Amino acid sequence: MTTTDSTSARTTAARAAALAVALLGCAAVALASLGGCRADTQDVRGGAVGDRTLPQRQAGPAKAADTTGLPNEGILANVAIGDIAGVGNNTLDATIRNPYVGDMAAIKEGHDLFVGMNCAGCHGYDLKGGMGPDLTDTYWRYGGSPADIYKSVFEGRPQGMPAWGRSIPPALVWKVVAYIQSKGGAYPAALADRGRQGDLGDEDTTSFGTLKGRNNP
Amino acid sequence: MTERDDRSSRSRRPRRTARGAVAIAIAAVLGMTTAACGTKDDAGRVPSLGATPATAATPSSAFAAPAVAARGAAWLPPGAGDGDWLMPSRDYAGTRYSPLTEITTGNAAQLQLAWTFDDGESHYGHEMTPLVANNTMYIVSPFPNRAFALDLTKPGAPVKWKYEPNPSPIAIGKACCDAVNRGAALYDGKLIYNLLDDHTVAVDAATGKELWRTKLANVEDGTTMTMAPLVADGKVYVGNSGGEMGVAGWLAALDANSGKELWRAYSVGSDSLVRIGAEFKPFYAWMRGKDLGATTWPAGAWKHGAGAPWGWVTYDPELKQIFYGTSNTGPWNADQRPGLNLWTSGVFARNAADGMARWAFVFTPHNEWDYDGVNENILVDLPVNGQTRKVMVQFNRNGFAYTIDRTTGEVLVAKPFGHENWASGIDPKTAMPIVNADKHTVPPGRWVRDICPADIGVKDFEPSAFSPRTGLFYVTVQNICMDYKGRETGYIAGTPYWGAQMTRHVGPGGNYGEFVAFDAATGKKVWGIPEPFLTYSGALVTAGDVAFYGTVDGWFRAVDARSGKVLWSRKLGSGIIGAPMSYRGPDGHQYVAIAAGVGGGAMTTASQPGFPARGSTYYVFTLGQNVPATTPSTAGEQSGAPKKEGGKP
Amino acid sequence: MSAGRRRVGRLTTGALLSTALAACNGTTSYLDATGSAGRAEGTLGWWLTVVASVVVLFVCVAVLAGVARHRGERNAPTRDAADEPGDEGAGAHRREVRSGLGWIYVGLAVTVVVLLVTFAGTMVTLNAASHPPRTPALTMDVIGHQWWWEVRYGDPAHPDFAFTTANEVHLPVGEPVRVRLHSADVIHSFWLPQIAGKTDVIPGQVNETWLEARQPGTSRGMCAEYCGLQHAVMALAVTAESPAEFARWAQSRRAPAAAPTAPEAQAGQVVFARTCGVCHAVAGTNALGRLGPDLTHLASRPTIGAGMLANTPTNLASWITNAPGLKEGARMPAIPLDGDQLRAVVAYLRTLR
Repeated sequence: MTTTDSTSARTTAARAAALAVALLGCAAVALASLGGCRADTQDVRGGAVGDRTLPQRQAGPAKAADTTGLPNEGILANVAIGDIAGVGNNTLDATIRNPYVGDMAAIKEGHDLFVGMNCAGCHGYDLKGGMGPDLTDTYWRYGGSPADIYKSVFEGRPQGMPAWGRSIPPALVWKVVAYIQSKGGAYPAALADRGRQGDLGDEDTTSFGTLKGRNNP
Repeated sequence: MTERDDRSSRSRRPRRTARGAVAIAIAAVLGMTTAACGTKDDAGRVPSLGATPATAATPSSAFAAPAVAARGAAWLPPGAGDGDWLMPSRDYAGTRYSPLTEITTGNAAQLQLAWTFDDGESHYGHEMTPLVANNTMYIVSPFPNRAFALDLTKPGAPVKWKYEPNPSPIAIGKACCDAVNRGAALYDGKLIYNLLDDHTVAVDAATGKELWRTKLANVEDGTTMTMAPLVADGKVYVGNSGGEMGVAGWLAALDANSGKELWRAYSVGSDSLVRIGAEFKPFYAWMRGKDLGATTWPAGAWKHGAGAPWGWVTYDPELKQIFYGTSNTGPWNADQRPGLNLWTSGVFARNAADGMARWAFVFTPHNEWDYDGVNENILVDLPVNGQTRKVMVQFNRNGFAYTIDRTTGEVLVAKPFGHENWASGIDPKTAMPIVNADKHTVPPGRWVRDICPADIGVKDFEPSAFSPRTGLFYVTVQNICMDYKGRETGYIAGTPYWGAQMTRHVGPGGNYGEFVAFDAATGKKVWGIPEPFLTYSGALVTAGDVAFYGTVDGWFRAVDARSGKVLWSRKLGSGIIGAPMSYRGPDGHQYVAIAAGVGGGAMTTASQPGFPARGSTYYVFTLGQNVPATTPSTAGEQSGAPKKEGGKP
Repeated sequence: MSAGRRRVGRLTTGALLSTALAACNGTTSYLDATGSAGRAEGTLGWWLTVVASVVVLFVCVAVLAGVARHRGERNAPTRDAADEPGDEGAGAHRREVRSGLGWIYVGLAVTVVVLLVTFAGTMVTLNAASHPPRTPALTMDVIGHQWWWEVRYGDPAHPDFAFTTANEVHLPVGEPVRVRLHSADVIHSFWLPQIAGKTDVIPGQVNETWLEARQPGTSRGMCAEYCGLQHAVMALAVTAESPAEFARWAQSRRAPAAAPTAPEAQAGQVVFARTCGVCHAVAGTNALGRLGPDLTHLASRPTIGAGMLANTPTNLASWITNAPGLKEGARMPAIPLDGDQLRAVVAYLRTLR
């Protein structure tokens, strides 16, 4: 720095003054702001904001939040709900991928749904079964690919499995499936056909680590 | 009333003899020939009723004549002879006492398999008691609830007819604890029983033709029916199951002829729903008040509060009063239902005609542990504190044996009959349990360790037996504890409204089961036979002073009803959770029948090493020399008895 | 010069901005406290502000005075003078430094006294605020969810008293209420600014606090946690009322929902039980889900979406069909109801008084 001593002193004084003014200003503004807030009412953001954000199409299904990466459920979602038994009739495209597979937030939500929808009451909090079947083994009466599981949850099954498709949107069903997958409760779509035939062997169960096969307890 | 000749604990029964009536009934129903019995000991004789002739064959001469069995024909379904078994507990009092005396403590070791039958439904547990009348055995399978009539007059007891009701398979997934059935009742030529999908059916006992079918509830909502109906005075009493599915419990009375519903009494809700009126006089003050079935709950919670009467109904023909217990409170997570939660986990005494409640008692108010109150209420007269009282005895799931005055609902004796640690006792003033602070499961969301008993109780539904000859109750006791974690649960129709996570383990000593003889007048255990596996079968006791029970690992045993000495054991194909019964066959001999097909609540211990596979076979035993000859050489070797027609009269 | 001005400008802007961001809303003003703890803490806050302001003022004046007084003395070079013994200027300077040291002692003493007094006052106030004046009869379990509040009332002495509501708190004036705070998922912070200070809500543990309203009125409670999608829109409608009014309110909350009579609302109840009932509860019906807020008396609540929208039919409809679009991160999915079903459900919800 090449400033003279006098300018330096002056600058110091000016800085000190500015600082003091700033401090006082802060205090004054803060006090004024806190004191001046008493007259407002509660739902400023309520009515005004809410009424402005009315959707244009109330009647139609709101897909806004459900279109993120979801496959076209087409066939799945339009299957008649009820007791559709029998693997033999399963013409499902087993390669449909669960859009939420591995999504930790979705899996957490799937877990909450699994408990909240009382799935745990039948299948166990550990998915090991109870009133309903074990969901962590390789035996799936109606197929164990993610799409198969989706279908079972969506449509219900004859021996008491409710048809959740009547109650919750497809995205939530996929999240439940994601949770089951995260617990090793599914086999890859590529093995769907063999799985439906009950032909999954040890080599398969060990080849995709998510499953708890006999060699992979 | 009665002479109390002897104050020793063994001979304190009032006695009212009606042997004549029973004998007439037998003669009418069976038309027995007695000639075939000549080579056997006296106990096998047809007219041997109650205990009288048994004195020679048993060391029981010190014991006086029976009380309950000799109460009179009114305590038996109409037309029941002493060799018949027309309802699961044989008599309305629920004693499971057979007056047959051919099998005694002296010869029980010679029991042999006579024949077997398989109903083919090994997927589910076999909790029923076979019935016998008119030389026919009646069996109801678990889901799909097929009924079979087996012709006992022919070798091997072939199927006479089969009835297939085809209930909805949805019911399988709505039954909490296996798609079981606990049996049927024979009444007025009809076989009456419940289907899992909430229908009661009556089938012509002679032909197997369906006479009527009444729908009582919607299975889609989670209601199922597993209990055996009680039929008395032309009314069929049936109750629902579904304490884990958010049902509201009810007991309905149907007309036995038409199946038409006469009335329905709920276990929860307003007084009109519960059928509480001016007649209702509970003994304890905390059960008095208006609409307690609704006001002891949070808003509307009673609608899903369970109290399902899925156990046994007993009937006092003198008081014209029925008794039945109500199930656990729903959901299990008690945090969601602050309040006393009446009238779940309790017992009702109702006017048998119109169903109006006379008194009620709640064993486990604000039930936090799934201690149902549905166990059998056995109606006997016992000397309590020196005075003969008309009592009902219930071995409750919560581990206490309650001896209750059945006219007033006053608890006379309440003592533990097995290992429990959740309550330190029963308050003598209020009869409420004194809960140990560390066994509360509220607040939920944390593990509460080592609560004994576990949810299935020190005793579950499996019915005990009472011998008027010994004055003792024969009870299969469970020694099982649990770690319990309450969980939030929401009611969604048709899904479990349960709210608990559990792991179960064996109680102190390492034996899951025990067969106990219990004195309900004093609340004392007389003897016990420890079993490494769960004892989850019903009990049977005969006038030959032989008691029968089974274990979950498949042992079927005969024991001396007085000493508890095991006389005979036979390993069956699967675990035993049904109840044994005894009948007199067309050949005049005494038989004992039992179903072996493990399942139901016994599956809570399925991880125990050595646990058997499921099964569906009925086994029928009789004394070796009576086993019908199938291959002449074997029959000849077995006994020197003269070659009889062997079941081919 | 310009640097100093810039700093002043920055600070002023900051202060103004923070004022604006404080959602200048009287019903969230902790300075306008109506609760026991809130009042004590508010008074303490005022005192601390006054003391701090006085100190700031004093320091400012002292600094300015010092600057003014020594303005001329710094003209001569001082580095050499200070090194020369016997120099007149240097001697004066030392004297001044010595007399200045005396001021430091005064300043230190004043600071210590001020600090001790404010410390003691703070401790006494906070201690008083941490304990209710008497054992509360009422207990409130507040459970923080993403992103709404579940509120359960209970009275240990009267188990039948219990009831559950959501996103609303009623307080009987003059009666302390024990509050147990639970979290269903992440850290939240429970704050009723007018009633009492905030308490964090931590998953896996139960934090306790207490509330006591001292005068009737309505205010807004909030989640004071910072990190997360929607803590900001996670409000509670707080109503302080006389004990008699509170008892009436509690009585109405304990009652099950009245069965709808209009055909449209009846149709709505059926749709609700099948679809909404998976997550939401209406006491006394078949809809008793527990994933979302209890809606038994929804129609009598002022807002929906945890204080986000006014409780109007149009807002209800838009919330049902597009909750995640309105409130990012909301767990409630967009429910694909057709027009008739939607109208019916809204009609039904309006009957839940």
